[in-house]
Amino acid sequence: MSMHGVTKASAAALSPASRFRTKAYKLDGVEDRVQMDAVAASGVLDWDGVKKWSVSIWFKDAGVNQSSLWSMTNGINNYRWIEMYTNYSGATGQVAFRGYADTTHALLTSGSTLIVSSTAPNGILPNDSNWHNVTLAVDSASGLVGGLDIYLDGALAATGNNSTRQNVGLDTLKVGVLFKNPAGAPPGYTNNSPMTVSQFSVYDDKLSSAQVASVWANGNSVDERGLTPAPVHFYRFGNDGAAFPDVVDIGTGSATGRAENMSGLEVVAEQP
Amino acid sequence: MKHYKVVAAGDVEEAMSNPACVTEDPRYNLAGTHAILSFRVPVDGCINHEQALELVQGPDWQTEDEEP
Repeated sequence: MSMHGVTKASAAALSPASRFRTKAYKLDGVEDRVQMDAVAASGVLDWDGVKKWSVSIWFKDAGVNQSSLWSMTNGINNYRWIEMYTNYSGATGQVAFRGYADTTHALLTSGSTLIVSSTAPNGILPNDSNWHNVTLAVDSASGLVGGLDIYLDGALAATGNNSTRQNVGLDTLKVGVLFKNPAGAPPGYTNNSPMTVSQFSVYDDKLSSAQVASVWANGNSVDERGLTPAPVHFYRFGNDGAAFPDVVDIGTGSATGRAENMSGLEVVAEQP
Repeated sequence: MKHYKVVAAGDVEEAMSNPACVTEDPRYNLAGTHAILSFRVPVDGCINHEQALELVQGPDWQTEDEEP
């Protein structure tokens, strides 16, 4: 098997982890978020023209407009940020990427935003009460055609073409909120999502369709440490013996996160 | 269940000194004039989760960014 081939771990290999993957975070959509800045600091997710990476998130969406799944930003007031989010237009749901190199330049040739509607091929209706997986796979090479892929429930749903802009030095990563940190104002948290979020993983490669299909695993979240490649950063919110509100990285990266503004009552017994 | 209260920016520190306050790092409105805090028990002037969620979806708290 090639270096980037996919091997789904055996049931025996997965069973120890699956015993404690029984919980998730129920974010309130008002102020809750999961702070994962140590992941940003690890440098895996820069859009610098060289790095390739992927981010996977498992969630149940509440159907609120402009709900951020996760976002990254540079702490300086330069409008440099990326985000995955859900949105609605009537009965049509959307999953979308936004990426800004600065206030006037986007990371994609088509503009800052790449939207997949629920009516599109391989689109999903995020708030249908089911668990969903959104995986963003990126090769940040300047001007690369097909540099960005959005996978919904394991299927390729949209592809974007990179502009020549870069987005280096992203130093925050937040799950469940858009964070922009404008200068001269309190930290700019907005678009909080009232989602239930279970599993979050970061890979230091652009996953292929087959690899994302293994992450999706027909809708049953697996211990991704058993996949090839394995995630660098890997979290199962509410699990893994962490003392709440700490969020333990069970990947190889040791980037501890933190559930912010949350109480232990927002840890719920749900899982994909 | 958390209880929510909108607090003027200048009063945030005092409100967060309440031992029942859950909030560690507040979310402010877009103008930066007010924050919304949460508490484990009801406090004067608090609102419930449904009301808080509706509030923060309004234009004073939520943003839709322009396409560059």
